[in-house]
Amino acid sequence: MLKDNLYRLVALSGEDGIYKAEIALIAESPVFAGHFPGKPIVPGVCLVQMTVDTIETIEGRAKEICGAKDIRFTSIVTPLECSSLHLELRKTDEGGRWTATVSAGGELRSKFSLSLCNA
Amino acid sequence: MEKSSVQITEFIPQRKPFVFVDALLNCTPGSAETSFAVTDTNVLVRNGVLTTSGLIEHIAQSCVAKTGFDARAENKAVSIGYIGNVKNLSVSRNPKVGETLHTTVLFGEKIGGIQLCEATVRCGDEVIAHTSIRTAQEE
Repeated sequence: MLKDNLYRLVALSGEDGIYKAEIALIAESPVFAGHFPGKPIVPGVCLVQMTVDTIETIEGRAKEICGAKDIRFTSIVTPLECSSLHLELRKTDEGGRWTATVSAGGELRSKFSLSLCNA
Repeated sequence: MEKSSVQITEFIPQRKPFVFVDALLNCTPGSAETSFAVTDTNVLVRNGVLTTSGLIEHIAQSCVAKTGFDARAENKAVSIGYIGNVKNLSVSRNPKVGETLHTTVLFGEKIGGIQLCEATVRCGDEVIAHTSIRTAQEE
């Protein structure tokens, strides 16, 4: 999987359903050999998986996405341009629903509205 | 490879370890069918199960494979594709290692280089996931 292979969770803080995480990308990750050859770009779905992994750390149990209203990628993330990413996670009042944003260099890169179930 | 004898990497820009389609089985102007076997070496498999993130990547590559097929038919290079957004995704279960996914993609409108697709993922006869997805190709 991706943790400690594509990224490291550097910091996680927050309470009452609002959390912030700092992620360090691992530029040497084998994932970049295939996505894409000679043009490393963090796969958008890996940003989604980092979000799920971080929510698991917050909740202390295995989670999986069982639905999503919207998963939106607004601009790409490359390991050359972005060494670190900032996640902002919010647990909504509706059961299992989370919203998340991924930003780098002060710029929004992705926005997710996910339903998470116990894995 | 199943019906198709052509390497899938002829049609998609991704390479190992980030290939999430094995074969393009069928292709019409408005639809495509792909297959993908879930293996334990997949980077988005965890505890013997393909994560939803992996399912989304499989769906995206299924959409892009058809675009790559069309590009090849016109003797053009296969360009890099990105996911724009995934809307109204539902997953009834995540597939296990050893299972093979069969995915049907229906192509909708294409506006400003952004292609809308509706994708249904099956394991055997069982529908396990459905979503709308928009993908963009680099010019």
